[in-house]
Amino acid sequence: MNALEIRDLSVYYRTPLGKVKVLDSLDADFPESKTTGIVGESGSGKSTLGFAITRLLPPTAAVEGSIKYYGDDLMKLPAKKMREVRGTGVFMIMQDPFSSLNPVKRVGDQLLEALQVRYERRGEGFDYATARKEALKRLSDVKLPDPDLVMSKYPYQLSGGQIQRVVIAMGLLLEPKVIIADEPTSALDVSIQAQVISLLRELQESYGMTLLFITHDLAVATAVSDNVIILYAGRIMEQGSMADAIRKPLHPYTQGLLKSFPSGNYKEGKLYSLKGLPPSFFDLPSGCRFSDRCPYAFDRCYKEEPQVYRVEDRNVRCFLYDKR
Amino acid sequence: MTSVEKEEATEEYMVRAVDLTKYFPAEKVGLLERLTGKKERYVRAVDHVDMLLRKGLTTALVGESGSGKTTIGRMLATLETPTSGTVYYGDLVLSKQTLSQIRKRVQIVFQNPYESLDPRMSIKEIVEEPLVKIKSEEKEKRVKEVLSAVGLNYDDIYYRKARDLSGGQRQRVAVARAMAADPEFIVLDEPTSALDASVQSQVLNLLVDLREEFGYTYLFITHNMMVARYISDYIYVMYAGKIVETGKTEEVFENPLHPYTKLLLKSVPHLEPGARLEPMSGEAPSLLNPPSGCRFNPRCPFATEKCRQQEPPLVDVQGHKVACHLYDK
Repeated sequence: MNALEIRDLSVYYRTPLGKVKVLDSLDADFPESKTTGIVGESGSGKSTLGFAITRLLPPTAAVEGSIKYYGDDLMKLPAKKMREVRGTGVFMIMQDPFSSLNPVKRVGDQLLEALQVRYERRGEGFDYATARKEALKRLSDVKLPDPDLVMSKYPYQLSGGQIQRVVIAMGLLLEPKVIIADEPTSALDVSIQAQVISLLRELQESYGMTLLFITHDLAVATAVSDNVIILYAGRIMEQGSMADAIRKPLHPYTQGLLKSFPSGNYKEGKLYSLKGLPPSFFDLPSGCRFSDRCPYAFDRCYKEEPQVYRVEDRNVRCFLYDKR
Repeated sequence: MTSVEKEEATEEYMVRAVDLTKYFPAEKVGLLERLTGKKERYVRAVDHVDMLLRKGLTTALVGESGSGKTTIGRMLATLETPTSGTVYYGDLVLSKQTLSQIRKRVQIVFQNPYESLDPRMSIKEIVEEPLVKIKSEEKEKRVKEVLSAVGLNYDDIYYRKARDLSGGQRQRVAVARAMAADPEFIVLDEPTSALDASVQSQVLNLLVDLREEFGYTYLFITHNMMVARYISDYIYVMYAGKIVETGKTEEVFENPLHPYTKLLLKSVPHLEPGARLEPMSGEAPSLLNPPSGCRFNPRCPFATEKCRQQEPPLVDVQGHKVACHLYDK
């Protein structure tokens, strides 16, 4: 069963310089109770994908294609119905955790507000004492010491790691089927990042949520994901099992990312580095979008864009795998 | 002076900091409050730290946010005045009289190239800014030189504004600006952490090349252990304003001794499918009121009564230095 099925999804932004297509005909399935890592560099369209699923794109964006959430096409849902999907159906953890909480409201009140939403949507009566107990339990689930004290604090009185855990606790209180986490650890320190990653893994396993983990860091993705989607300039370049992609990356871009990961010491030799920079959406290379940086590019790569080939249970967009 | 200190003092170093301390006042205490006996409170950002930066080599300074690594970098770049302690730059001791002389030898590259470059200045104006009292033809020559050293073509770029450049290009410009004044010592404060993975390795390679060509001494500040391991010859690990471990980079990575260093290394995600992270518990302490004894003791799995009471000194163990009671004899 797939929690989300995305077909032919394109997202355009209107800009002063013209219309740009930041996601180009995406097809992806997100199997229930699994974690999918969505990996890409800045400007690859990875956050846009998260916002497209939750329909939180800015008004300058236009969307084509379908996003099926347990059979319902989210693109066609009326705004009111969509609002009911957000939070209790699909919950999004934003990159900057402070921006997802109200700065002038105590953490406890915000958690209770989330619970009230869940109760209302399920047609249950809201009972303050039970709700408070549940909120406290979730705060201790996310390993926040002194949940009572945390409830009485304002967001600015907590550290980044604590806030991120409050937001995760809020997500759990809403009992969503899908959590989209957009770079949830990149504002955090290594030791706190490791705590949050382990926590998300644990919670995902014990509650069977479907997790979409958006990150620029292939190593972080490896630590959380079952499957992976590698995005480059708005296109999916490689898609399949995370472990396979790390053990045997197929697309030259994935290979390049893996090889350029710092390891060893400079005395042992240069780091591998991909030449050039990721392209601008205003000036995409003709043919394959990776062609101008690809070490294996040949004539055809500059002329036409490769389709997706099925190789060893994975999808890869590269002519190297064209068997004709 | 112990034998080790003697040995260090004779080794060829670029910068040596002794007992370096920086306290920031945490709140204003007025005269009236002072009379009523209210004490001033301080954030002890850097607390009695010794450092030795060897000439022509790269020393990495790693730690999490709030550990004091940036404050050390700013003090060594002379942007911040130490509360106490002495800093030697070769034969010069940092003081008001020597400041202008020392500043000619020191440059800094900041973390975020989106903030450290004026978006409205042209690249030429940015890079030539540190060049004073030099004729304009010579200025242009120098700008050309440093831009080409960082892999940018002067003619393509000199007229462009910083806002038109990508992150990787901006950081190259920031490095070129630091090089323009011909420094000996460059503080690199997280120079690659705002960059994308595929661009980060380009900039790291560039920094290694420049150091080899021009003989710079680097202090490379980072929170990324893998980057520190790649770039450095020596490493200092900081925790809550204190150095907890230091030594040759390969020795510290192959045989980490301090429990914090060990746990930090286990928290770093690797490209290994199925590997589970082993996060350490808790968070870094407040520097307004750090724990007594060893500052890591509330998070340390091996903490004993002694750790809660007595601060461990930095002692020589198995070829490097570590501040932990586990290694006290």
